Amino acid sequence: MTAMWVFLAIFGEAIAPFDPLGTPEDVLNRLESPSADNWFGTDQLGRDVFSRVLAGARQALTVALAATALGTVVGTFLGLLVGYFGGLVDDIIGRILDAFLSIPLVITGMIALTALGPNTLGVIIVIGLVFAPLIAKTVRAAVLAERQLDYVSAAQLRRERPLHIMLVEILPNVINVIIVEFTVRLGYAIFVVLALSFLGFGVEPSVPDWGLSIADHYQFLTNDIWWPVLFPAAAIASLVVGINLLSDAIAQAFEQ
Amino acid sequence: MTRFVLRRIGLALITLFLLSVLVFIGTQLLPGDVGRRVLGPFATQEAVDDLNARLGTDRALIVQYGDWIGGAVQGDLGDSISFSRPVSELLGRALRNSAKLAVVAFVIVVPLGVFGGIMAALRRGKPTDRLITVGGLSATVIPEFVSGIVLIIVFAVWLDWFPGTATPPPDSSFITQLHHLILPAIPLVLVLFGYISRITRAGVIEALESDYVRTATLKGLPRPTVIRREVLRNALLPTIAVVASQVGYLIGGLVVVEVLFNYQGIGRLLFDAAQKADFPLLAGGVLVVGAAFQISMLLADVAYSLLNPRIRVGGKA
Repeated sequence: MTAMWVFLAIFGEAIAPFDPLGTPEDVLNRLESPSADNWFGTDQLGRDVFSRVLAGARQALTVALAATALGTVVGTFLGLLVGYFGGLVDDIIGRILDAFLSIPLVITGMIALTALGPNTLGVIIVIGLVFAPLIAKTVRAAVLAERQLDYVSAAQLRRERPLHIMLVEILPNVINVIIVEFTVRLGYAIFVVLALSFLGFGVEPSVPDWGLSIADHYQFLTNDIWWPVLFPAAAIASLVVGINLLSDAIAQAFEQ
Repeated sequence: MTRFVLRRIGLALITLFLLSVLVFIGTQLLPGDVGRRVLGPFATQEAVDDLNARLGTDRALIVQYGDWIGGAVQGDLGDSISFSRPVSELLGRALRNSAKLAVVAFVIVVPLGVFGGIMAALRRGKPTDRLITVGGLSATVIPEFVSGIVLIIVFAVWLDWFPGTATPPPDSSFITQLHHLILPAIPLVLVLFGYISRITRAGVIEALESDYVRTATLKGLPRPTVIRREVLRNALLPTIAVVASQVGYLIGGLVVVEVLFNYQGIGRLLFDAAQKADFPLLAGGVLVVGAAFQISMLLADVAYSLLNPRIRVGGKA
């Protein structure tokens, strides 16, 4: 399922039978129900829902991937630092982290994007920076366990520089933890990215985005116009469940 | 015990203080010129200056913070820009509405999640277990607005069993209110079910493998008695902590659900505040949300230590 969406994210625009951004003539065919031409019907501007669902895969996956990658890189580095040096730095960062985490991520995102205005880059940076401390927490725990081991003491006795020990000696040994963390966070990133775009804080209007499509059309539900909403919703559900099953499988594979 | 509680309260207060600084930075510093943000790019500079003077946003930041937090401690969070009402009054009403929705969700999900977790643990590795574990996890990752939309399409539009909005007519009876709240509660239930059942399952499995359960079994106690008396009592402890820690998630979820179902709760209010760049309302709302989260974590820790026979002193263990 995940593979299918990754494939569609790369080639979706080429397959799409119509321009997902729509053409001026589309306005004549607004909100038409699914037919042989428009498999998933058309939306309020007459754009083909099928084409927009295909194009939306790229939007959702790139934003979530970029945000998670940013969070993982920053978080891993922070986690290595805090786990390796420990002590006061650990305490201070831990407290600030607790305060930060008392606010739900959707609300943090809303505040930051109110200040920044809705844009894709803003979403990536906000989610990435919120994920960083969460990932740092996991990495820190793994580093703490590694630091007790002999190979670290040996490296310290060889007078290797701390940065070298962290990146060359410890990092390869905690990489499994980081990979699992990455896949778990990726699923959650999609969850938040789409929630924010549903609320109108995520992307610029007109971008083919699943969350935004649903937000734009759920008011029509009372007239039994369900297709511009139900198809993106199904796309989201299948993507997040697919990623979730994948991360579950990866985690189990590492445990054995 | 008292020392533990006092220490825990101290920690919560420090966290709240840090949170207030973060909220202040987020809502006062990030927007830059508050007056300009509220009035938009076409307002005259005099109007912007005037509004900044009226809001007090032209003063030094540290003075503004002192003023804001001093008022907050006394329950005064300033006035909302867009509603022209005291922030505390708006928040109070929204919190009451959200609490109703949250209670409905918890009343459904806690028994369901605990029961599902116990069933999964007792049938570990069998299809029932896989169904509950994988199904629960999958439901957890589907965003609330996706499940909410499907519920609206099926149960409100096609079947017409439930209303598509959560707001009941004014002064309606308890039953009518409940009828309006069930559909919006289900997306929250779906997300929470996975967490609660997973933690219950882990607790029950750990208890089942413990020495005291083996002792009880070898003593010849019938299995239902063992499960009721020995397993559940120990396994449900971690569940309490998880239920409380989900209050934080719940409020994030409320934003989405309340917007979708058009319900005047705290999530909807924060959403409106963010959309209208109503910074006093936003700051007050987020502070209250953070405080609610800290209080629920505090209560969970205290309840956990009270109920845990290994920490409890002087009771019958």
